[in-house]
Amino acid sequence: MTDSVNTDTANIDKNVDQKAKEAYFTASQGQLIWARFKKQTAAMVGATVLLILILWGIFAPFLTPYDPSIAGRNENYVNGAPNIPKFWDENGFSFRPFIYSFERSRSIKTNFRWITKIDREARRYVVLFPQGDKYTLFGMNFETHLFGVDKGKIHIFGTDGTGKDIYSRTFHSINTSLAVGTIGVFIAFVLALIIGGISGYYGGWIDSVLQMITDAVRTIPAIPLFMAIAAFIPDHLSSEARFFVISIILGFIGWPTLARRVRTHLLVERNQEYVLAAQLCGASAGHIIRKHLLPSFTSYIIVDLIISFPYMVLSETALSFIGLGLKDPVNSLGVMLQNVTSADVLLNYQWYFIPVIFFIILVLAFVFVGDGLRDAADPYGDTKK
Amino acid sequence: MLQFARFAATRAGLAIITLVMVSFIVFTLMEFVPGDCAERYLAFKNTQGAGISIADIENERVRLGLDKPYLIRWVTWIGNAFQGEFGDSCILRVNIAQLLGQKFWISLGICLASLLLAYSIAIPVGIISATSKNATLNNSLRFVSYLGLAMPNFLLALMVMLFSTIVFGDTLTGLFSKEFRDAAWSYDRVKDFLSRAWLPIVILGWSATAFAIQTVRALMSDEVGKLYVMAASARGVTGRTLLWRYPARHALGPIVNSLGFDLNRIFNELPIVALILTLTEAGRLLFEALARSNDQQLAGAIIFMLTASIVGINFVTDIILALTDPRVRRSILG
Amino acid sequence: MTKPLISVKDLTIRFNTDEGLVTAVEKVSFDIAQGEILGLVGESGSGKSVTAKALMLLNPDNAVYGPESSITLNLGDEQVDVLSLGPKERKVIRGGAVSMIFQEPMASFAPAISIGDQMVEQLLIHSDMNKASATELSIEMLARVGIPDPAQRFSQFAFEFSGGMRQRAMIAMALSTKPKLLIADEPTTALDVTIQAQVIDLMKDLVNEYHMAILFITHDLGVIAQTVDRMVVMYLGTLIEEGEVRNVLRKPGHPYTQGLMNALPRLDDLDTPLTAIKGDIPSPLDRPTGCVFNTRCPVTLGEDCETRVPIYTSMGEGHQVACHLVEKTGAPA
Repeated sequence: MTDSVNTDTANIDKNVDQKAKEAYFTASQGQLIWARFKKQTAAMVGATVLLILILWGIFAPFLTPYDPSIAGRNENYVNGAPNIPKFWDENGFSFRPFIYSFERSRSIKTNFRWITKIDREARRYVVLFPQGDKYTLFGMNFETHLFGVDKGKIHIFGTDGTGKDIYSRTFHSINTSLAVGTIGVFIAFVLALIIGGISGYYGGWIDSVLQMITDAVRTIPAIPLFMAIAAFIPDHLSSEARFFVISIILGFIGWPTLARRVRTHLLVERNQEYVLAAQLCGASAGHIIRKHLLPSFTSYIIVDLIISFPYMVLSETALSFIGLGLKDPVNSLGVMLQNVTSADVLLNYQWYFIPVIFFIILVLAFVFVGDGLRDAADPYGDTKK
Repeated sequence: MLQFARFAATRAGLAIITLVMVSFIVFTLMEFVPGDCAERYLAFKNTQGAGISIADIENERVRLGLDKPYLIRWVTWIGNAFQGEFGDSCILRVNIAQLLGQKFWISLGICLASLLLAYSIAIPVGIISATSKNATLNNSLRFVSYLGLAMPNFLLALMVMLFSTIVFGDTLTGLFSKEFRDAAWSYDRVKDFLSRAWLPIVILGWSATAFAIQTVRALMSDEVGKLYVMAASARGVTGRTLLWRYPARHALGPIVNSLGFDLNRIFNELPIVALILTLTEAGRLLFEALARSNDQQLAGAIIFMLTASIVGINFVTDIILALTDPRVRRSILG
Repeated sequence: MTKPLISVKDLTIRFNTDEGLVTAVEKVSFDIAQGEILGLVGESGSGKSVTAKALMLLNPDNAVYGPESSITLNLGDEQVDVLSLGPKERKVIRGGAVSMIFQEPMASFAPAISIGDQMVEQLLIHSDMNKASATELSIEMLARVGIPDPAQRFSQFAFEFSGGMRQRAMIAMALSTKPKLLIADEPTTALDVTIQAQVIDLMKDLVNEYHMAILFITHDLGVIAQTVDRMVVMYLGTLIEEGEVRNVLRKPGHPYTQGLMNALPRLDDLDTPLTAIKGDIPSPLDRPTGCVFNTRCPVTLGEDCETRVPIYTSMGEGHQVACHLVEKTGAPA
């Protein structure tokens, strides 16, 4: 049993409590969801990571030293191993990180394999804010990059078969994948809303017909179908146009699942008592849809959107990987993985796989956030534990 | 009995309608391919040095029946498709049914095996994790299922390749060793196949397992909290009977329902995994048909077969559900 | 005097939650005699179900029982200390000597297993009958509770029964093992009034026939009046009044019980406004000190009620009230 309480502090506690209670009762849906979301550590970690990766992708041109396309390649260092900056070696300590100079040669003697001779005496120091390859960010032209090296080039993740810096490509590719994903999700969402919405709101035979069509599309395995469509994109399309076409196709394949969710939810909700109550008050159909039905599943839809993001990104990666998706110079993880299955790469150039780690982190972050949002958005979530 | 037959017939009818619609979509898409079979083939011949003329192309068209209007061609195609006849491949000039033949059934077999593997792991694990209070177990399972989503099969396949190359110096690829590739089926061939097929089955099953664990777990958690489980406990039912006869049995219904969709997901991964592991089966064939040779006849046929399998599985699971869930059974029988 | 069938002493139940240790039931004591119908009355959330489930050890794993709590079941020569039963020994309180029926009969039957199978399963657990005799007995029970065509109904499923019939089937299932105590957790709340009456009559008949006791839990005072012999009133996990139903309802001693009675709409006076008990039930995280009702009591004695927990004062004939006012003045408000 509790001891008897000092009445003064009890009053203060009561005031504080009252404020908290009021804040809780008058909070909007968004605020409530955010408050619940904050409590889940996994989701918050995921959200932070996601934010960092997204910013990294957006500011990639600044944050990475070189242009990711052919223009920025280092002909002298094709298939080169990663250069990890060091602070200290047998020649002494240096505040500025440095890498070694090297020479590459190959000849018949080495079976035409590149031999890299590292010169540990000659250091190349990392510099901050050097001028480098030009890039455009938010419509303005810049030349300054975050870091670079005073002589030659620095490749933290190594280079690929044509000398392109993998570090730069990785972060630019995040951007691309996210962009493709966004467009795809957006298109899928609009389609799903329209088709699912009509289907769910009107019911009856309209619903049956639309459902059969939706199910037919849903049954076709997406990637083979996509492969078929993508293969027939004319090669002469510019890479940007190709980018858009791919995103649109992804969206067209993604709508059935979302549409089904919208339709099921609408079918259930439109028979609920609160809809009937609104109708009895004289509300118009538009008003009911806007003010009652839509908010009831906004949270679910948002969660669905976030969860379908990774699928879009994965689909695009898979397709670019087999060469049917994006192509050079548009850069995505799939494109970067295109040459990875040759035995040469597997045996000798394992650093080609580094982007995979970032990719997995990105998808995991999305999944954590999506899950966390789903738990936070469910008003009955607490009781289900 | 009669009513059940009627139910089965209705479901079968619906399945066929779905297939027809699918074929319509697939066929239409094939139509959009610039250039048709005749042009393609003759262009191919062209690269081999044989000169062609417009007249040749026209003749070829008539020969292939490509000059008839769209609807007639579609109806013919689908009529043949249902009999397993897909005509000839555009480029390879080989009867598609023969070409696909074994390869398709092997692919289907591998995918079904993956599905089986996935659920044989997921059902016990999912059930145990839903009822166990062990926090570490729950968290690690959650993590595994997330990983299953984040690292899709083809990435896993890549990793496996990387690993096996570095460690073993060998890439574990191919479905058959050289000697058995085109041999007739024999006991030895089966053994060889099994010894190599386990890898694609496991890799394909990986994502499916992660998903299935999550699904089973969620369904079980829902069921375990329901009143009838406590009521059974209040009657003295305990232990494994309590677990299996009550929540598990009821949670498995929706799982049966979702099998078709799971197969869909596995089919998605198949072509790419097949490519990575250099398997010679339908998925790889599809890829080559599309990427290398733009052979829409072959591609269309493969996609149609894949979808037909899924529709078939959906039909079977519908029937199973009707047989095992008394609510469905009663509503059919009236 | 014969020993009571079940004797609950100082039962205290707390739950381990994210917000801390929450008290659901505090020092509850009551006895149920053989063949007696005891009514447990209280609002939603007052702890009635938790108490009932404690008798069968059905509370979730995060339930913490107070050290002085004891629940003793007297079965002839045997005395069972319920709270100390190990997992394998609980059969006796689960379907054996104690059975429970629930508020939602639809939700209490497994949807995909036939009623008959569930009944037979229970019989096979608690007796050494074989399947055939268990089937026979189950069909008999279904007939006894007034279900027509029992043999056919035996193989049907819960969704094929109507509401009232489901409740009857539930009763049949609970009674097939001839328990000494039937716990009825709001058995009539989900039923129409006419069906309610039938089910209550059925239960009273069975009490006489099987010489069985019932713990009848409800928030409906009207049903209590018709059905039970004695009643106890629970508020926020504490018992505040007990006695013969006629005495408690006609001359309620505790201000809470009085409030409950006053809140009932009166058929004979249709114009009087309804009087509610002022205030809200406190959250279990915020249990008032002293008498649990003091925050809403219209006749609170101030500091006394806020600091000391009242104990039972007798008002004669087994009617006991836990109220400082009654204790001091010998009479209720």
